[in-house]
Amino acid sequence: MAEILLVEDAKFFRNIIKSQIESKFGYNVTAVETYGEAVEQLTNSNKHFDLGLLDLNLPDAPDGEIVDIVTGMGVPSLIFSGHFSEAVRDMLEHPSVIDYVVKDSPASLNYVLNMVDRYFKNSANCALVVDDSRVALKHMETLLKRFNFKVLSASTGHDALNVFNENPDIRLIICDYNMPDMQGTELCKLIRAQKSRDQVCIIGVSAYGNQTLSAQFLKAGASDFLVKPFLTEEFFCRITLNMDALEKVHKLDELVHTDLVSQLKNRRFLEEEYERTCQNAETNDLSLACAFFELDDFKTFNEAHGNDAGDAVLFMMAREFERHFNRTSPLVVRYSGSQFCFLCATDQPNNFVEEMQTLHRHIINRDFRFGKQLLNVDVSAMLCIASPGKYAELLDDTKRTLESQTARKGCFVTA
Amino acid sequence: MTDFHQTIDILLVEDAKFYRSVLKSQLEKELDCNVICAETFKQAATILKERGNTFFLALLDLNLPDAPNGEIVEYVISQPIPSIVFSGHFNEEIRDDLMQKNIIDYVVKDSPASIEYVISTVKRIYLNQFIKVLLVDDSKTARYQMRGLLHRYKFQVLEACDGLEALKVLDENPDIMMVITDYNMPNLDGFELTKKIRTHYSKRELSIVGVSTYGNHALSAKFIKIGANDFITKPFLNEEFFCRISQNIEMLEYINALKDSLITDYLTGVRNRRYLYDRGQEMFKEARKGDGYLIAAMIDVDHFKQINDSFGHDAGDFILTAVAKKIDHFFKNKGVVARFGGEEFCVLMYREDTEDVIETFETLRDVIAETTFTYDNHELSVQISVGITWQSTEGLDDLINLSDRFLYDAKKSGRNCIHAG
Repeated sequence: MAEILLVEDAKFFRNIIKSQIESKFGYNVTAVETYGEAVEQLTNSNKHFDLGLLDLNLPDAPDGEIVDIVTGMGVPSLIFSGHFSEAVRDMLEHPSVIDYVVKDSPASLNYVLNMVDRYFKNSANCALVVDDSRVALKHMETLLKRFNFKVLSASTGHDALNVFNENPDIRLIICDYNMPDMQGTELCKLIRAQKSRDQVCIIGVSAYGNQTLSAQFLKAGASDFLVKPFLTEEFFCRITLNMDALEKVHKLDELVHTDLVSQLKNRRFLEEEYERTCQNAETNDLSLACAFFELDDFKTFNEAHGNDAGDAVLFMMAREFERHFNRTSPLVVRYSGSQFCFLCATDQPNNFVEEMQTLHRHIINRDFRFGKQLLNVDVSAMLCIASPGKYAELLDDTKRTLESQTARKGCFVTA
Repeated sequence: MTDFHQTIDILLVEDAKFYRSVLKSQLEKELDCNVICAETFKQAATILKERGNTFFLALLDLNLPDAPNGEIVEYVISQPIPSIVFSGHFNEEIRDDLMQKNIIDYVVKDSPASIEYVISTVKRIYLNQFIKVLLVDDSKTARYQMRGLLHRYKFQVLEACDGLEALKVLDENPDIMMVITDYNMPNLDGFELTKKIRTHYSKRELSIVGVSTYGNHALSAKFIKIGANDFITKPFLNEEFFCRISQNIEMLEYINALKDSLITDYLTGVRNRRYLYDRGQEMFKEARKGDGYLIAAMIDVDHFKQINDSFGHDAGDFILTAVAKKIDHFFKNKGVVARFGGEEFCVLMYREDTEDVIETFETLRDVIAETTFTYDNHELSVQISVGITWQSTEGLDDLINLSDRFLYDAKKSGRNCIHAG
């Protein structure tokens, strides 16, 4: 877990930042009031700090002395200042200062929180910088590293394509226009032919005075543009907005495919995934196995114990499902109300049958604790297996067979 | 998938068959629209004479066999129909020429990404109609220029000549989604305005874009530091302006969509059970304090299993979604409509008296019974049973359970009816 050192003498600001970071992101915040206390923490505690949040004006260090000592120990830091000034802006020249925050505006708290969030999220993001000028390349690499990105670089269009193809985790590409082997807009088109705006962000860099370049970049599929020369703040604003947008789109996609009650994937996901699974099974000559679990009389159960209890049981069952499988790894989704669906492409369908049988026994013999109640559930289960070429109706068939065998509630049936 | 409130018609004039057919099918798949195609200037003219100006927008190829020099653009724009223009290649001359013609945007057709670009642009333009943007600048000329651009992209535009007026306009229009503000203004400058707005609205609720001038770079840095979402540097290209504005609007839309998706049933689009209970608790408390009644109605689609069995699950899903939309529309702004589970929906609403409650639901029952839903050439109709209660109960759970008990009675006494108590 990330360790943050917060050095701030204003009590209110200190407390609110500490509590918000801890509750929103779950990072550890060590909060101190003075330069002396900060030094004590850095030298005598066993903690390794990943990030510093530093006020420039402390009672025992009124002129930003804290910045040198903290960054000198290798801790990248975010700086707080009471007001906006060129002197504060100049702190950005310092290689370990990530950014500064002006405390006099009501938006500053959120700015700090966003920045902390962004900083740690970036460590999972890979960026590619493309520029034939070594100086420009170095400059942007430094900025991105300071911002905690994993950074790759390329100095020609073909280099860039190679690096891009070898690193599927690249989320951000910053690309200059002039390169010896192709124009930046050309590179942009080639990348867009593979990945959409929702998958990779491309920012085109153009120089002031050569104005329509930014328009050309946008038309070629760039997500955004930067005009050189740019300020560090502008650079980070552009990167942040675009990475935030990319993450929001991913999050939305994930939510659309997640069942909120069980936290498993939902039926929509299964339906989108079904064809792919069938194809995969077909290609590799595997059997496709489908199983449904249904909580019997779920409506009566909810009426007797309350909907919250019903939801809690669904959630706990889902966790049991996730823990259970060793030899097979089926896709598990909440199909509807009280039905769960398991789908597995395998060359050893018997393993899957065994594992499902064990799971069924385990679930019906288990008590689920909700508040003070111990709840027991009955589950009907149906499992069907289809050999290659006969997958098409498997899902519907399994479900239909389950629903038609009402007389055998609570049992595990293989068809 | 479709955020469209109504189906729109789009005119597509393009002689390249492949591009035309791909574009038409993609547009119709991704957006709720009809694409009417023409291959030549002449065909387009005939369509326009027959249909008049009923198009939401037009997509026009610059080079047609019978109009090789972009004649189609001037003709369609003069109708007037807002247009997006395709060109086979890019050069500054073509660009400048097009930009003067008051088109919305142009697309360079040379890559597969251009299709994605066209679709996202059309979608953006459609959604912009419902978005209010406030322009704050003391220079009339600057406002005139930006207003022109915003109108071109179909935004609703409000204006203010300084920070004080901006605050007033914002107060009267709390649904403003974006403020674009200059720095240098009398009375209250752009920085102070940004700070003041941020005491009421966060960056996730209202987007502020600061305008700075090239050469005065630190302005943009300061705008961002004091709470602006973004900045744009003057002079800017139309394309740059559109990109900056769209990016920031889209960010707010993502945030709203994320919030929504947590409280929306993914299949039917109405609220989910989580929202019903969360909002229901508040409504229950409010009803207790006041003199009115909290009414709970449980609605169930009769013989739903038969639809699934005879026509397949896709038909079942289609019916559920259609019925949900009907119910939702019926109670629009009057209560909460949620999918309770399977084929059950729950309605919660606050009423001062209970006089016409049953009548209201009888009307709903009639409306649904009389509707024919067409799925895959099958004409389907369904009926609903309803259980209603407004008894004073201990808690929300009891109220909802009670309405469910009345629903059970309605089912037992033959379905397609209402039981209340």
